[in-house]
Amino acid sequence: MATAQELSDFLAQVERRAFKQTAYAVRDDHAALDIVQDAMLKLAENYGARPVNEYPMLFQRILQNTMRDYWRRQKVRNLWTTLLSSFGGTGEDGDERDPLETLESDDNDDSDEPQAQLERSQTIAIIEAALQKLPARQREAFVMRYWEEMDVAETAAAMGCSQGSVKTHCSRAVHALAITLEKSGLKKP
Amino acid sequence: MKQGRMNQEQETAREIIRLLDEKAAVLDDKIVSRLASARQQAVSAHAQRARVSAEVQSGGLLRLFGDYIHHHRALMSTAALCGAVLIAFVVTQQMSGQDVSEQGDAFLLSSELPPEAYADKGFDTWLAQNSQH
Repeated sequence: MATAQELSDFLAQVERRAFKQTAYAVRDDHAALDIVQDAMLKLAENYGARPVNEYPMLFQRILQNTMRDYWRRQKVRNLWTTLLSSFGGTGEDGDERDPLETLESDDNDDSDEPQAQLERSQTIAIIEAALQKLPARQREAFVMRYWEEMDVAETAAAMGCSQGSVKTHCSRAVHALAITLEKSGLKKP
Repeated sequence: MKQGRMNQEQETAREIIRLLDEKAAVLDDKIVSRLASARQQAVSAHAQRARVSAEVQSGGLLRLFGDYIHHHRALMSTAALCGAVLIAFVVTQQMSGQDVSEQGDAFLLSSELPPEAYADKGFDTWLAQNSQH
């Protein structure tokens, strides 16, 4: 059984990536923080007794499931909002914003930085936006496989799919990200 | 060819991840403190669970019951008394029921009529009619 210190170390190691990964998926920092907090608690309460080497896979699985729960709740909420708005009252800004359109304004405060630094932060922003646009399964596979450094078998187990599917999702994700960068006039990193 | 493409793919992925790591390293202070607080909550929950589990394993459950009995002594005495009365009642019923059935068996065996006669419903009717005459 893992000790409290081991759990703490593990969470400290993954929490930032977990937050960013969730934020890419749900596009809302507050919701992402809630989801990560839920996932941490679920891991501690339900799987705290497991060996620490099982934590990465378990945590990813819990995180993905918690995200799916969030999407389900959002879907129901959106359905009600749509129904109610159809009876009158127009939404202020119903159109979904393209994250790529906001990149320029997000990076304005880098004006004092050297040109190279600006380009670099723009590249990061474009990658983040492209990650958000990826299909959910591709993003999950890419993040687990490359960011969390899980092997194909662990990723497949966490995603509940075959190893072949993981490879396909990863390949498509990398391809899509590379194309987005090229389209944005940036070289592949 | 395929291997080369895979290597290039992995190289691209690694570079992308390096940039993402850079971004994740400079999160807003509020987010960092919220994550730390969430982590602390999770660790507390884990520690509490481990403590309960350890208590149960080291006889804590019995001690838990012992404390309960100690605090509700009057209630426990009444419950024990009621239980004893109930057991005595059940045993008495069993004993008296056994006497009745033994007497019934003895009567059937010592009777002039065979036991089958008492199981025959027509016999009761015949007996009732004859006793009226």
